[in-house]
Amino acid sequence: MRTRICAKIQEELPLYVGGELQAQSARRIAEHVRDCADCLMSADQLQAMREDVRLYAAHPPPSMLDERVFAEIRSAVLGEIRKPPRRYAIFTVYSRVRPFRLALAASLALLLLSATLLLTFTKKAQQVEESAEESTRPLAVAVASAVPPRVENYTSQTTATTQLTEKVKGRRRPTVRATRKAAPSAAVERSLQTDSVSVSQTGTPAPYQLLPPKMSVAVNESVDQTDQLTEPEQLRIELQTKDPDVRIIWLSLKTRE
Amino acid sequence: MSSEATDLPFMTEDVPFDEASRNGPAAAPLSLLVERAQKGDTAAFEQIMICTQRRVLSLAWRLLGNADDARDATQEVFLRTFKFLPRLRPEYDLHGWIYRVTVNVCRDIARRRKIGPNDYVSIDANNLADGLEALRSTNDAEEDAIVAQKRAMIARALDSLTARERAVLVLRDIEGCSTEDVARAMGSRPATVRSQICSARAKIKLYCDQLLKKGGHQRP
Repeated sequence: MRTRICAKIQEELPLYVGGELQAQSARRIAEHVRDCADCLMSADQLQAMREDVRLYAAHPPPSMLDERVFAEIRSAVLGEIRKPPRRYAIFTVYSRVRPFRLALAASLALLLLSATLLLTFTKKAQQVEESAEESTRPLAVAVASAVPPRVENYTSQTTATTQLTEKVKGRRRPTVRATRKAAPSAAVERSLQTDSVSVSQTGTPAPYQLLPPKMSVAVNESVDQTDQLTEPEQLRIELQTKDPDVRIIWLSLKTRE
Repeated sequence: MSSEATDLPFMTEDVPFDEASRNGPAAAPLSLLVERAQKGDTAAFEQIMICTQRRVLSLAWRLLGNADDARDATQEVFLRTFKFLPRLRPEYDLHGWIYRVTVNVCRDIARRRKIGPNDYVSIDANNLADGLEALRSTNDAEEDAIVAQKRAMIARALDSLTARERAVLVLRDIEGCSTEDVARAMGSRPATVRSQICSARAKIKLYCDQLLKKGGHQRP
């Protein structure tokens, strides 16, 4: 029991001799040390050791504290302090352009602004061009179809019979030809070999190349509507392509002379 | 024993300028010097160096245990002091601040040179002879031998500590700082400092006991 208490006291003795313990702990240890010879001896040894450390480790060698040593240190420090600060290349460049920094900043800002504007306008122009192109394609079909060919010998009685020739048999690709019997003024001709559709008019050059080569409008084998004359003066041809979104409508109006 | 403040007569002996400037009427000129040095006056800074150099060098030597390292540390301390002097507010104590800078610089040097336990080259033969010369109060050869033996034993016992243990022991037992001041200087908590001080004292006692049991001051 005594040994266990002593072991605990011995752990706290280094702090006790330095006065770092709380008052209560210090009092408890002081009471124990008064009665315990071993702990008292340990406390004395620690105290003596502490005094020795103060005495023998506190004084630097006199040669170190010589005035010449201090003078050397001071001159080294002052030399370092008085030395011009090391300048890096970027700071040198900056110091050269510093007088013109406002002009430089303004020109840089202007350059940035113009570059931004240029980019914006270019982008907008591209967008407009793209949207125009996109809107032109189906519109071209419609417009091209809506433009009535000028028919000279058109009579309402003939009612614009449109022949649709289809050759779907065998492996041969179909060729669709829409013609008007009485007045073969226009023909929708599509050659699937070339994957292009052209609207041609007799006597007049084909107004548009309707679709790009790869669009493959591919007039359906079942061209469902051909000649739809709702009125005697109107000719309407609709061609439904494979693409459900694309329908070729051809309107032809009779012009009364 | 319960008081943390301890009398350290050698401190006044070591740093007469410091004490005079801290407590006496010379405090005003020091603050003026600081003011001038903050504006870049190197002459004023030189005066500040003269006032504090002995204390800085002594503390560096105690912390590093090596004369060359202590000189390097002192130089670095003054360079840092001049660099950061404009940040020192008038209400702060210059000495306390330089003290902390010294502790930090010595810690950096110890870390850079990887000074750990038993790695210190603390007191070589010449330094021991110098120390003996300084301590010699009598021509008695026997007493000289005892003093030399004790000094070497303490030096080696200090070498056996880690850098932090040595620093807290030096600050607390030699410099006479309070636990809170040591904690502030070391950048740690007072409880940690107490633990390190306790460990350091116990290690030194153990080391000395072992040496005495072997009947000499050779390394175990």
